[in-house]
Amino acid sequence: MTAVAERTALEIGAPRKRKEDQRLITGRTRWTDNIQLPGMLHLAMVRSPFAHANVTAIDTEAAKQAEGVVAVITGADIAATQGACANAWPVTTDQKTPAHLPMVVDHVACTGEIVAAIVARTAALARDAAELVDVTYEELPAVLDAKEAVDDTVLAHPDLGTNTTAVWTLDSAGQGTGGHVDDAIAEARVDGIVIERDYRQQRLIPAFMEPRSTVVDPTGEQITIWSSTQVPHILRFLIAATTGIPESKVRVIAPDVGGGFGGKLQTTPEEFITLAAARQVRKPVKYTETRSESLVSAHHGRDQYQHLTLAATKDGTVTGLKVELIANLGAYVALVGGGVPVLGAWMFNSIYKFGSYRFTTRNVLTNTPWVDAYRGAGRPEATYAIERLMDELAVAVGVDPLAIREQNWITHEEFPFTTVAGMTYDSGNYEAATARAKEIFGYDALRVEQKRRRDDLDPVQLGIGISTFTEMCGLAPSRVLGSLNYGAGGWENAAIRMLPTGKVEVITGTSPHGQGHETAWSQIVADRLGIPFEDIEVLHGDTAVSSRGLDTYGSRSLVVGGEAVVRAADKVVEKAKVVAAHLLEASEADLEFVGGRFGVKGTDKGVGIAEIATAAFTSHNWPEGVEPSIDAEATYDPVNFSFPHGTHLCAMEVDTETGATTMRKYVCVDDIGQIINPLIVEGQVHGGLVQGIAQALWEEAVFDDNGTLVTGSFVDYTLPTSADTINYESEHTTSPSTTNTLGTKGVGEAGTIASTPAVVNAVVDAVRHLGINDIRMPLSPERVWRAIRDAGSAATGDTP
Amino acid sequence: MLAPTITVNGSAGTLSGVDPSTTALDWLRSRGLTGAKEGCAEGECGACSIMVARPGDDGGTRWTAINACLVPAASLDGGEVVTAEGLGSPQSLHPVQHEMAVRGGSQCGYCTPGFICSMAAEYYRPDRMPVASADEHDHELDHEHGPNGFDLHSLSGNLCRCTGYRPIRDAAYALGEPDADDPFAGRCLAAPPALTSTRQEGPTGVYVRPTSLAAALDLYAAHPQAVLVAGSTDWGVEVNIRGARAPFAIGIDRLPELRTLDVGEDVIEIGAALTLSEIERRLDGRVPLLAKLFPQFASRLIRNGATIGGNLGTGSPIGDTPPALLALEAVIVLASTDGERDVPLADYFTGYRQTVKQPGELIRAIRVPLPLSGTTAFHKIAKRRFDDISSVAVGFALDVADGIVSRARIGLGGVAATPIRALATEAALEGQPWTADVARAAAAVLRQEGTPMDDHRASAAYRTATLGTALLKLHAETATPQEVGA
Repeated sequence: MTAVAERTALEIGAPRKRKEDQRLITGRTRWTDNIQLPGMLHLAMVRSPFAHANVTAIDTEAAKQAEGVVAVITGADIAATQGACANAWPVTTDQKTPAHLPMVVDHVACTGEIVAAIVARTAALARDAAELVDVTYEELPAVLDAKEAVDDTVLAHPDLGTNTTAVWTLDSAGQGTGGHVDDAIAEARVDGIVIERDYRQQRLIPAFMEPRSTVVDPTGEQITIWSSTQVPHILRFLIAATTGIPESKVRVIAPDVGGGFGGKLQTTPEEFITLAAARQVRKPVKYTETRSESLVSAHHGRDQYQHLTLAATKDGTVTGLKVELIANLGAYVALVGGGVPVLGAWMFNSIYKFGSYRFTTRNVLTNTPWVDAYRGAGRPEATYAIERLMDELAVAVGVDPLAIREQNWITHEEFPFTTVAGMTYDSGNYEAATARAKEIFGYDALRVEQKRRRDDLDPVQLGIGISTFTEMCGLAPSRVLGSLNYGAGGWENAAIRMLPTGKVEVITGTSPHGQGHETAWSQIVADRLGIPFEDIEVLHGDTAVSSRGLDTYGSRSLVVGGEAVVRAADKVVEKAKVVAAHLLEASEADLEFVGGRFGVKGTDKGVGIAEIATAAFTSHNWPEGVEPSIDAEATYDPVNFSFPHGTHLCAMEVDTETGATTMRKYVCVDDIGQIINPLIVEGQVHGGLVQGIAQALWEEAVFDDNGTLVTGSFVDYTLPTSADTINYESEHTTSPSTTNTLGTKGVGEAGTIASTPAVVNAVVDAVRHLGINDIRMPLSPERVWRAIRDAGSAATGDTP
Repeated sequence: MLAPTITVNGSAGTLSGVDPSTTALDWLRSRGLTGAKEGCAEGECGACSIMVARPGDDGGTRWTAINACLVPAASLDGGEVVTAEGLGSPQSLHPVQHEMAVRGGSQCGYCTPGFICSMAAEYYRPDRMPVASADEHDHELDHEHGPNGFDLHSLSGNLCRCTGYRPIRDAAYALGEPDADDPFAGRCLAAPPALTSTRQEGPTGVYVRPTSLAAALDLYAAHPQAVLVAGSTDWGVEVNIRGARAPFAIGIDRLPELRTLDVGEDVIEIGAALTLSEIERRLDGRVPLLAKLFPQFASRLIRNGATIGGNLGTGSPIGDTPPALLALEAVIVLASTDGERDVPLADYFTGYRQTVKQPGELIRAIRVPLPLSGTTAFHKIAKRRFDDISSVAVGFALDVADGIVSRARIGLGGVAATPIRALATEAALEGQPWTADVARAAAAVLRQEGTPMDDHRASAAYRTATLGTALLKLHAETATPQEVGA
C-alpha cells in the first residue's frame, strides 16, 4: 500500500470560492426557461381580472383559430385530471379548507387565478391568443382585508359559510409552561405596566429574481418535469397524490433555480396546468411567467394584524404576553399557508423569560392572492412584535432599551432553557453578542450625538434601534411536526457514492436555489472523508438522482441536510474501515482514520479511502462476506430545532421636514453556531438584512378597492437597489448547537428576522420626542412625515 | 441590402429571418447565449444587461451596458455586443468575474451575468480614476464610490434579491485597472462601429434606420404613423408588456444631425438622439440643474439607452426631464420635411401624452438658453432613492442679485396632466428679497400649484407639502447667514 499524503488543512470554516459560481458568473447555466426540447410547445395563461367572480361562460373559438394555436384548455376540460394544489398543514383538525383547483372551473377567488390556457407554437403566439379567449364573469362582492373578513359579512368562498379557516391557540397555562396571561395582565393593570399595541405586518411579495418556469416532457416512460421550485420532492409527491399518476412515473428536476425566499416553496397551479397541457397534447410544453404574472400569482408573504398585550412589573420585568393575530391567508390555504402564523407561536417570547403567555391566531380567507412562507415565515412577525414592545416597555420604565432586554433575557448559564412557549433552547449567549455589537456600533457615542441633535433642534434627528432576536431553525423533528398536524416529516436524506477513480458524489435531498450547497457540502465531506474539495461533486434537485428528500426551507438545509451528509460520510468511513483492516492485515481497533487515510497506529502502514473505493470497483481483494461497496446513505431526523440568535443595532437619520430616512450605521453580531463557509454566511446575512430592511422601509403589496394588485410590476413594487443599501457590519459569536454533529444553527433567515424591528425601532426612536410611538411599515417618507405632522398638530391642538 | 449583422463576443451573427419586433435579448437567447435573461421585460431589473460598443468622446469606442430586453435586435446592426459568456469562461474568468467570485457576489446567480456586464462597462470606463488621496473616513461615508473610482450608480439598474449588494459592491470596489493586453480595453482605442443603414422586414412589420436626417424625414413624411425608435426604452416596454408590433418603425438613434452637443454664446444645443448618459458626460456639470437631475433619472442602465428626445417625445406627465428643462426655459427644435420650428417647452405639452408635434415632425434638438440662473435645484420624491418613477418632481432656477430674486423659473412634474411651470410661485418670488419670509410665502403658493393626485406612491397632500418643503430647503441651502436671519 502506498502512503497517501495526509490532508490536514480543514475545509470547514474556510472561505472557499463557490463551486456554483464558475457557471453562474459566466452565464453557462441551466435555468428551466433555457430548456428547449424537440417539438416543444408553449403555454400562456388566461387570468381573471376580478378578485371574486363566477365564471359563467368561456368562448374559446377565436383563440382556437388564432395563428400557431395547438390547444385551448379550460378548467372544465381538465377538471378530472388536473390534480390539486394541496394544503400540507391543516393547523387544526376542523380547519376549513376550500378546494384549490389549479385551473378554475366556475369560481374565481382572487385576481390572477387561471381560467384557461393556450398551447401554441411560440410563447408570443400563445400570449396573443390568450387575449382572444372571451370569459364571461359574474362579479361577486370581494373581501380583501383580514379584519373585514372576520365578521363574515362578505365571504371569500360563499360555499364555505365563513372566512375563518382556523383558530389556533397556544397557552402556557394549558400546557404547563407558565401561568395564566390574563391574570398577569390584570395584576399589571393594578400595580405594574401594561403595553397594548396594534402592529401591522404588511403584505410582501417574495420577488425572487428568476420568474417561475416549468417544462413538462410527457414523452417516454416517465413524465419529466423541470421546474423552478424549492421543493422538487414535495412536488413529485403531490402530483402523484392528486393526479393519480404513479409516483414512479414522475421525475421532477429543479435545475438552477434563481432564488426562492419561500416563494418557491409551493406546488403551483402553473405546474399542474403545464403538466395537464403536456399530457393533453402529448408534446413537451413550457410555461414561463412574466414578471407581472409572478408578482400577482406566486404566493405572497406576511399580512397579519397583531394585537399585543404585554404585562410587566413597574421595574420592567415582563410577567405576561398575550398575542392575538389575524392572519390573511388570501384566497386559499396554500401549501403551508395556515402554518406560517403558527410558526410564530414559539417565537413571540423570543430570548426572554416571561411568566405567562398566550398566542392565538385567527386564520382568515380573503379574495387576494394566497399567502404563504416568505423568508422567516412566522418568525419575523413575532420578532418584530416583541422587539418593538421591549422598546415601548423601556420607555414606560424610563430605562435604556438594552437594559430592559438584559433584565428579561435568559442568561448564558441558564441553558438548556425551556421557554414559556414550550421550546427548549439548547444554547446561546445573548450577553456576548450584545456586548460585542455595542462595541462595534459605538453605542454610547451615538446616544450622545442623538441627545445633541435633540438639544439643537436639528431638523435631522438620529435614532437607535435594537433587535436582540432568536429564531428556530432546522425544520424539523418529525414527531413535533406530527403533533402539529403537519402532513410530512422533517428528516433529510443524503448519500455518498465513492467512485472508483477516487472522486466522490454527494447526493442531498435538500434542493438549493442560491445557498451554495455544492460548496458547503463539499467542504463538509472533504473534512469528513479526507477527499480533496475539488474531487467532490454535489448532486441535488433531481428526484431520479436524489430519490428521498424534503427540500430547502426554514433554514434547514445545513442543520438537517448537512447532518445527514455527515452521517452518510461516517458510514462510508465505517464500511471502509473493515476493508482497510483487511487490506492492511490489521485489526480495526489498531486503525486510525486521519486526513483520508487509515493508518495502523504506531506504524507508517496505511491505505487511503480513495484507494479503497478503487478496490471496491475491482473487488479482487475484498474481505469475505462484505458487500463490495463503501457507498452509504443516511436519513436524519433532528432531535430538536436549532436556535440562532444575535444582536442587531441600527442608527437611522430622519429628516423631520420631509420624512426621509437614511440609514447611518448597521451592526449585527449573530451566533449561528459553527460556520462552514464564512463567504457564504456573510452573503446570507447581508441578503437577509436587506430583505428585512426592505420590509421596514420600502416594500408593500398594495391592492385597489377591486382587489387588483397595484404594485404589480417592478416599477411599482420597489425592491432596493445597490444605492439604497449601506455596508452593514457583521460579526459572529459562537455557541455551537448541541443537537447536531457540526454544531451548526442555520443562517438563511436570520438577517431578515432581525433587521425589520431594528430599523423601525431606530426611526421611532428618532422621532419619539415628538410624541410618536409607532409608524406603520413600510416607513415611507410620507408615512414618517404624516406621523410627525399629526403628532405636532395633536400637541398644539391644530387640525391637520 | 444585406441582412443586418451583429458581432457577438467576437463572431458575426446575422438577423436573417428575424422579426423586426424581436428584442436583442430574445435574439441572443435564441443563439444559446442564455446568460442574459428576461427578469422583468421593462428595464427595471437588469438581468438582461449586455455590453455594446458605442462611440466614445474622443473618436474611440466606449463599452456601454444596456438593457437587451428593450432594444430591437435590428438596432444593433453593424454593432458589437459582449455578454457575460464572452467576457470570460470558467477556465479563464474576466477580472470582474473573478472579483465577483472571491467576494461572494453571486448567490442564486440569476442576476449575475447582468451585473457582470454593467460592472465590466464601468471597469472599462476611460475616465474611471482611483480616488487620489481618499481620506479613509470620508471614503467610508461615500457609499457610492470606490477607492478605484468605481461609480456605484453604474449598477443602479441591476436588481439582486440574494446578496444585499454588499458582496457585489465589495467586488466592484476591489477592481484594479485593465491589463495592457486586455482585448476589451484595446478595443476602446479604435474607432466605434461605423454607422450603417439598416432595413429589417418580417411578418409583423419593418424596421428602417436611415443614416441622415433628410432620409429620416422623408421616410417619416411617407409613413406618418411610423413609430420613432431612438433609445427604444418605450418601444421595448410596448413590445414586451403590451404585445405591440409596430408595422413601421424608424430608427433615429444614430442620425448624426441628432447627436451633436454645442455650447454657444447664447445657447446650448443638445441633439435629441444623445442618450442621457452621453449628455451628462459631455455637459460635465456645465448645467448644474441638469447635473442634479441626471443621477435621479431612472438608472444608469436606462440612461445609457434612453435619449432626451425620446423622453420628451412620449409627452409623459411624469418624465423627469421636463421639470428641469421648463425651469431652464428650454426650447424644442422640431424638424420635418417642411423645415424646422422652435417651440418653447412650456408650449409643447398640450395634454396627457399629447404635444404640439405634427405628423412627420420629430424632435431634432433641445436648446437651453444662456446665461443660466445662478441658484438651481432639482427635487424628486419617489419611493426609492434611485431608479424610480417620481411622485412629484420640481426644478428651480432663480437669479438672485443683491439679495433680490430678479428672476424665477420653476418647472413641475406629476401635479397635472402635463408638466407645468409654477407661474404663480415665480411671480411670488420675483422682485422680492430672498428671505426666509418670502420663501415661506412662496412655498405656500407653490403648494397650491397644479392638482396632484393620490395614488399608492404618494398622496396629494404629501406631494403638495413636498413642493413647499423643496423650496424652503433651497432657501436654507443657498441663503447667506444674515438672509436666513432676516
